[in-house]
Amino acid sequence: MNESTPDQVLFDRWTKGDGKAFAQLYDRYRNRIFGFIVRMTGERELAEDIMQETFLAALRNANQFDRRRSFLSWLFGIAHKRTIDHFRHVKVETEHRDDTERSMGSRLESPVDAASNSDIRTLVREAVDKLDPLQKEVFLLRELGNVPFKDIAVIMQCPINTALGRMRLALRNIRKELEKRGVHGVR
Amino acid sequence: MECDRWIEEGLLLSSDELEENRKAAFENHLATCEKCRTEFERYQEEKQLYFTPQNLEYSTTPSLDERIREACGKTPIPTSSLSLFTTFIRRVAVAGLFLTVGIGGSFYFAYNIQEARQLRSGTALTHDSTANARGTAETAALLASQEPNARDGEPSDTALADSAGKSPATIIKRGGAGTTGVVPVDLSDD
Repeated sequence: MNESTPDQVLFDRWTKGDGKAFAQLYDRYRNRIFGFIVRMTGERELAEDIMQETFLAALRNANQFDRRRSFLSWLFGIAHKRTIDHFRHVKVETEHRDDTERSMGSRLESPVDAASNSDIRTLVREAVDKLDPLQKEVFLLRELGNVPFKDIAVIMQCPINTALGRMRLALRNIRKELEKRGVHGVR
Repeated sequence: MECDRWIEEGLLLSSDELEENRKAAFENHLATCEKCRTEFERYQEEKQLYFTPQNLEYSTTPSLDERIREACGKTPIPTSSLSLFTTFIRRVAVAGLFLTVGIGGSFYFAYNIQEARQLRSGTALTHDSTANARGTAETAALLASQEPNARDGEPSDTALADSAGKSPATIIKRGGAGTTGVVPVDLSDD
């Protein structure tokens, strides 16, 4: 097995009990899924729990995976659902927005990330973190998960034009934030 | 008015979701519309420079990785064909059970209702004569309890009528002490 083995092939091997196939799939996408969940929740510890739930749910619901779809899209859909379910359960959606804005600078820094505090990555992350939650969801699903807009519409339970509109606003607001911090448009 | 085709078609094109005919039409449009072309190309470059997985993702920790690998290793893996088959069998069994209970219950109740009807029709004649006699005795007792002269030791009108061979219905109910506004009614046929 190597990096070029398609996701669907690895997934089939994983569901047949191949631990190495699972390890390869996990390593391929763990940081992306984790990045999505961390940004949605604003809490690293909570994100770790949801991350575990996401992969366990993927394993339990392996029969429901449509092989014609992208495995990553499917996995992001599960991660999104787990995150939303968590917030429904604790009913802290409003608090989540406030907490995210207050704690973004300190709680989300990992030892690895702290070393690169001034580079473009930090600026982009901060710009993304300032987005409205719905715009952030669409943006991360698209850019981090490579989820098609028609699947984003299903995941977020909105019309596809609404998803496209939110993406447009997300791009506009990220550009504004980057320009404020001296990162001007590429043209 | 500014052109905003890039918002829908440009984004769909970049995610490879635009149908072939619309794709060709939009690419032709990009050649002539500066606004859409600028926005579309800017977005493509932002994706390459800024919106990369490396900039957007977060690193997991080794302990988290270990925890998830261990948890997934312990979780039983559903076998697709077997689980579908067992699900199918389970559903057929449940449906069969409901059908059996429903049909069996219907037959049971139908049989009992039929049996009850038969019993009732078979003993109807015998019951009628007995019921009539019982009804007459009850009526007599009721009338006796309501008669003003039905005091201790005195024969009631009913008792007198009975002794005369008349039915309670032909007794002249006399008003008297103890009655409250009862109008005497002569029920006799004479």
